[in-house]
Amino acid sequence: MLTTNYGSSSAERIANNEDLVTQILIRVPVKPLLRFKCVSKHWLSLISSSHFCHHHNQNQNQNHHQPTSLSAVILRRNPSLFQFVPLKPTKTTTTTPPFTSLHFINQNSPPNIKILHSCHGLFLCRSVQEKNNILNQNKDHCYHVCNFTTKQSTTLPSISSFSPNEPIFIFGFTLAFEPSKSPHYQVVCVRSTNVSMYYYQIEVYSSKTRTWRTSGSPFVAPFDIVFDNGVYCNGAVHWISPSGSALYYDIERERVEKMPRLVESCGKRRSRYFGESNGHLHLVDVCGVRTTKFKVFEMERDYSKWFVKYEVDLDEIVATFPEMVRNYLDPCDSYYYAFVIVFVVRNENEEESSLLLHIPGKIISYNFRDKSFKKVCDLTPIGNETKSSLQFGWLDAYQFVETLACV
Amino acid sequence: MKFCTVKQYFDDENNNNVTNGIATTVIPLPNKHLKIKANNKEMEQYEQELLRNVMPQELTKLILAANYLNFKEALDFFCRTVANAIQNKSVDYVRKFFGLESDFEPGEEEKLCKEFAWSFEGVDED
Repeated sequence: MLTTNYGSSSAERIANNEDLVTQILIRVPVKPLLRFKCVSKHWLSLISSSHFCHHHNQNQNQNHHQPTSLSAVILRRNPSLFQFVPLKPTKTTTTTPPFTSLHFINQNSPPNIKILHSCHGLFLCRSVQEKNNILNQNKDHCYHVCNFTTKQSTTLPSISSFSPNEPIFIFGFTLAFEPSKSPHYQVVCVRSTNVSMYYYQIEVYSSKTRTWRTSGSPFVAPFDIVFDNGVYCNGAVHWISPSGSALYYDIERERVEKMPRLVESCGKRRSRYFGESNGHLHLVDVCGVRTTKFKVFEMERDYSKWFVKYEVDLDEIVATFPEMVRNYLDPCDSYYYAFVIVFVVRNENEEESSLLLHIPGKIISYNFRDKSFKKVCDLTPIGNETKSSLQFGWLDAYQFVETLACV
Repeated sequence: MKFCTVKQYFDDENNNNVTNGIATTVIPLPNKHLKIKANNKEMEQYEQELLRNVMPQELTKLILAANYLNFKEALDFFCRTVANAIQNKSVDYVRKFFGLESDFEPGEEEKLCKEFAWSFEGVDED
């Protein structure tokens, strides 16, 4: 267009310049971008391209004016029912969740899909498929990496065993995705090794190469380390054990290292929370009798020690929500007060860091700084649940962030 | 220096009204940036004040100017403002804004809308 008359054609000139359109669109949040896929075929192809998705992710992470914060938490109420709990204040009071079922992953098989892990908006899921073999009734596990925002998924290749007579035993998978560093993700697997039954071996899958490869040497771990609830944080996968040991695998350096032991409990431990938020590792032990006070520990970035990050006092919450008191139990019972820690939310803005608690029938958000609290949502009882039951814990809660990341 | 192309740019333009508008908006930005570089909040307020009375269509001209002058901070700022202006708008509004037309086959567009139905919530009225 050779016109020098600016009028409305300046907008058209921009529309014809893919670089400029990209510059504008990478600054638009994910949700409207999905809508803008309907603008034209060109915009559909642009917004869906992996180049754009990576550019968008990078920009969102660097953008000081719109810090990316946790969008929502997904709760698994039962194997096939998910509740979407938005954490950011939304414009409309009712929010349609981006997904209600996991059918899009594998439309052919029955919905036998379990979420294992979430990381910066991507999810690792496992599906069970019956083997079509009358003689061999074993069930096959298939692993998928999914983006629930864009409804895309990919199936991971299986890890090949050493030989047909020596099957590999898998101890756990963890998804590692750091969009600010790379558009590619990795899946870290801990498996058995034929070196010795006391040793473990790490296998890593990269979405760049689309293959598994053995990483590092076989290593020994404390007997009770739990490998299938790994927590990804800052380039490493972390595992803990009920007796207090802690290990982590540094993905870049390909080494398994020891972490400072977990802080000793002050009495009979009732529950333990171990999770990550915004690049920080948190540990909460709730122990003792009739506890309403506990500490949230955070790991130093250099792995030198656990330190007390927040002190929590739930007395006011118990006073406000009497349904938390299980007065049919002995007051010495650890579970006298019904609450479960769902998630420790560590915000860039410290004023907004909070604790998500599940109490009978509700999710409560407790602000660490000013100790205020508010109800986040109601939980209508489903199935066999009663109004006073606590049906899930932190292992059933997954962080959700909208992302265009490609799988 | 950033503004060696400024004179050439203004010489190229026929429409004096446009260049005046751009001169008052784009030119003062680098100096202001240097002065309050460290303070994001102050810069935000300055930016908002500057663009309070500028319509989104005007912004597109500013984007073209900033792009031509290779002035990255201004380009980032103007693109961000347009992004904020369009993010809660409907698909039709965005099409009209950029002078685009739908080129989907019948049924294709509905399929997309259905797939991402949740992203159509909370959209401003046209």
